[in-house]
Amino acid sequence: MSDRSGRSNIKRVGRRTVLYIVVVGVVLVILTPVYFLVSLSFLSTREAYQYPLPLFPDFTTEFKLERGERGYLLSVYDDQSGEYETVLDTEDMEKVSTYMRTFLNTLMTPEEIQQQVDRLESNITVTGMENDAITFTHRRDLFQNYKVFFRITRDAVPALIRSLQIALLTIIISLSIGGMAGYAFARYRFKGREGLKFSVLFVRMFPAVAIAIPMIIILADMGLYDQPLGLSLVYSVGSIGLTVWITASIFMGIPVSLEEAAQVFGASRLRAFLRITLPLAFPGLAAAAMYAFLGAWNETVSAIILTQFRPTFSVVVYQTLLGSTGQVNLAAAAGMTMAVPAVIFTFFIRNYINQMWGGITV
Amino acid sequence: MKRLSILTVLTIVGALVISACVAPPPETIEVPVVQTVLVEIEKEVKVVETVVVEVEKEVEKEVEKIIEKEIEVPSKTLVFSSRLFSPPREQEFFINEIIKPFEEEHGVTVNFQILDDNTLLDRARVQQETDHVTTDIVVAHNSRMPEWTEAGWVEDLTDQVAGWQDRTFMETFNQDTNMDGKQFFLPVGADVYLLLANNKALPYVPEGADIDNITWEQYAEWAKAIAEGEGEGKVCITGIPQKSWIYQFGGEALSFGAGFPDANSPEAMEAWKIWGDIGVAGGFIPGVLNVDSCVDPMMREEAWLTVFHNARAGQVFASNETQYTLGPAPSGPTGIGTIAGVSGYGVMKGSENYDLAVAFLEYLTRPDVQVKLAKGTGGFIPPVQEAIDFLGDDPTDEVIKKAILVLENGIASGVPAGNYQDWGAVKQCLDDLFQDTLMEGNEVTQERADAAQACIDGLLK
Repeated sequence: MSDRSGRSNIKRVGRRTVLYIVVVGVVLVILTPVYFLVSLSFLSTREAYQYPLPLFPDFTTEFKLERGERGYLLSVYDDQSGEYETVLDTEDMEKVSTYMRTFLNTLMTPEEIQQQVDRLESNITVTGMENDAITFTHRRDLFQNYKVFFRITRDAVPALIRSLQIALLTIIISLSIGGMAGYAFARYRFKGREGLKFSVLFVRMFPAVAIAIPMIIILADMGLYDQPLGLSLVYSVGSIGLTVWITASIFMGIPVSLEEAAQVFGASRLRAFLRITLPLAFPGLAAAAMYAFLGAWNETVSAIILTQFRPTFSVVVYQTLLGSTGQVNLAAAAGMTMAVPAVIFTFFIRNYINQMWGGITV
Repeated sequence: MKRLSILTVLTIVGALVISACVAPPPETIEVPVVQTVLVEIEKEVKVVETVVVEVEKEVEKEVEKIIEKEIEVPSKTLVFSSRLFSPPREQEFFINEIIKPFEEEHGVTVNFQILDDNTLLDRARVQQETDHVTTDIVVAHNSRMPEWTEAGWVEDLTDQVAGWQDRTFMETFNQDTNMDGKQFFLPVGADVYLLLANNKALPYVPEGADIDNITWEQYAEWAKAIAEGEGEGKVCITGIPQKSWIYQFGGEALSFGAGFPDANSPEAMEAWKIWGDIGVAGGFIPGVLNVDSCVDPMMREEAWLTVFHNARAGQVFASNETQYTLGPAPSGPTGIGTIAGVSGYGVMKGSENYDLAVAFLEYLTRPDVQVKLAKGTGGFIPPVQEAIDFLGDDPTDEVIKKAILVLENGIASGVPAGNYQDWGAVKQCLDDLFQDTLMEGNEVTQERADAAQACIDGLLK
């Protein structure tokens, strides 16, 4: 008896251990790239191209300065090799300052660098050693990549607001039209219902770029080209189909008897819907809203063609990163900037979506 | 409390939605003459002063308010859509060092947008078809210029250029920038191919080889020596399909006397032998099939040796001038071969800011501005003869000088994309050959090269 319970205990512990290993493995697989993306967004260009990639950005940069062939030889301390590595040989302090800012995320003015040069020269004068060198440390600007991103995209903040507007409009249009259609599919029986329900997904089969040009011409005729409303209409076309399917499934899972019971107690059909069905369907609507938001937020192909003076944030990021070879850290910063609003939105809406796992039969 | 927060969120959402729905169409407003404004302010100040002397603080406030209002007058906007200067660092330089002085001088705003060639053309088509032209200047690649000129989407700039006596555009690119004797594009940012080596590769340079005058055979020997010494290949080419392998091979083939694109002529077969030698020796970097640009592998020091686009070579070189060595592309029996490209500024047909656009192009093509631009963007060749006088002996100037050397003395070919149905598919023909032959460590056979050529010829228009 005790042997059997001992064996079952061992089995249970074994199963649990395996389960935890699997869970931890999955979490690591998901979180490791996210961690590296976040870390990369704070690294300087020089750090971003080191192998292996540093796990954390340095807060300071250590320099060595000595006389060189062209002017002054600047070296940077490399944590991995434990040595100073030369990077520049010049007498142009403006160039040194630009290099430090661009490749090392270290902001030193030409005057500050000149002070270090003067210190070196006075050292050489005192010691009489031509090959004398000095070292100095300077604080790094951790947010330099983000600053550069917002500096070269002069339209970044307005674009961010525009993207939010478009995403919200898309949610409103999709939920109002798709939600009503979903309710109709769930509650009414009519000829061609299944065919029509299936056909709403047809619009999702066309690649955005294929219909972008005719779409522009239509929007231009409507006076909605380069307008947030025009873009949200385009996005809604795709998300309405998905919303219909999600909400129809949700409404089907809510017993019609609940509405009927409310009507027995004197509620009108609309009131019964608003007070009984809608709150129960809220998790499904939240899920549909999330899909609509993410679709509108991340879409780039149509937005590039459908906007010019009023680009969305995704377009701004795309344009910034179009040629970002040699600056993966900046790409990471832009990616992070793009991801944060979507993460915040998902964080807020997740509670409603979690309710879908229980309480509602889908 | 909960209700209050929900109400706040709803208010914000409502405000955002309403503002999105009532967004006014973009307008360009003429800049009013500031002097008259200032006179008005002075008058007002005087009036207040004469009335009450004690209320100086209020007067100051009032004056400040008026000035603030007048500063916020929107200016004319020039829309500049470019396929060039896409790397973020180049964008930053172009905005701060090139655009800003012009904006300050003319009191205008330049809306600088980066787009690829396809999107530029798509957008132009829409604007022309709907007669709603909002782009003023486009920067297109020379391989796509015929599409612009044949469609009639860019203005003829011949008369404008004739008035600029201080600059001479290089004739090398006239075939693309001009059509029927008229100039539609002004060349900018020419590119050729250069050799870039990490200094760690220098100990393996074959005896008697000079990096400034190296042959393809010596390059192959060098690559093999590195692979043998390091136990791993260090040569970078762009192995991801439809990138620039066609240009890397094409330039080399030209130096052997082949045409472009030419995969199976006797001269091309000689060129293949070089890559075959490198492939057999395992000279390519292990991750070559994941490379879409040699910038990253060279900066990571995963690769030590490559022959690629001079501006990108300049980009890597700028990351650590003391770590890399630059040279012209290796030479073959007929000299240095290179694929040469250029971009060009064009003014969109129907631009509402034509005069301002021409003024901006006049500024951009000044010899000193061309050099400043070339140096600040990795080392493109400024395609204006007089610009060369402005080059110094800084390492970045050396990059440009070496590129000019290749352009002037090399056998250069443009990109005849217009002759083919799909240039990407043409690239794919050579990419496939690379993958199934050189990557497998095999020599290229005549039969395989013939198949690649048949693939290319099948795509001719």
